[in-house]
Amino acid sequence: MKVRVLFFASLREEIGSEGLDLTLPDGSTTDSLVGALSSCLGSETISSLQGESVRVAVNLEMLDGAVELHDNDEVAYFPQVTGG
Amino acid sequence: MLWNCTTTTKWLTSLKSLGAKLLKSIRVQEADFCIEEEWRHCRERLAGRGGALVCFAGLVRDLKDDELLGLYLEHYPGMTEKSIETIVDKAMQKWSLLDVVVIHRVGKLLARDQIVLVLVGSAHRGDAFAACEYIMDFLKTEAVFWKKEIGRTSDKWIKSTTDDYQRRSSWVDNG
Repeated sequence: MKVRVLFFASLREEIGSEGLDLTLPDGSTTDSLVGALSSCLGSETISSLQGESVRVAVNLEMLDGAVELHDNDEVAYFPQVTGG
Repeated sequence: MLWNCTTTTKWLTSLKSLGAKLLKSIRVQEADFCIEEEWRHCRERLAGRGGALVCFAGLVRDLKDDELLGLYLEHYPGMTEKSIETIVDKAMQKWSLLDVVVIHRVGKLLARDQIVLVLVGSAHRGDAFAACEYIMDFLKTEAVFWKKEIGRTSDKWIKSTTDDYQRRSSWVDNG
């Protein structure tokens, strides 16, 4: 299955990528996605993505824990928000 | 970038009870907004049903450091609008409201520019005052935006302050 991954704001700059499209095995989860991203973008990506303030959304829904991914899902990683 | 800043306008209407029409407008845009125009349109929509219209506008303060040139606001198209809509929906559940407008700017902003507008119309002032403050407090900590200070020599991402979180928590603690 294919998923699109996006990085925003300081996380995008830290990782050095705006995002990428990945092909993953069926049954992959947001946890296993981190490993796949590490392979593509470097091992230091893991610490960036697992930072305390990093939030994860799948298809525009904020996550509280790991979920199974599906074909054409969009996964976004971003830091603490600061609106207003 | 994969995403460019976009302008999104969303008008939603629902019926609260027996024809009491609730209106909400959520816009994320690079362009500036005209408070007088938004105010006039909101008054027209209230059409005699509203007894209170509260307006809050957020501005870019004069930057203390001469090295700072302005702010850059980034957003996540689709999710940002959704996060604002969630905040507005919660306000509409907590208070008796007739009309809510939220306009949030993105992109590059300079000192004294307008960043955000919240307009809340209701039958009575208590609901409008409380809902306007609630929406702003949650925009600060829950709406999907990121602010960056643009300097002459370097840039810095801004984090929400302790005060921002305390204000939001006070709503949670007080129901």
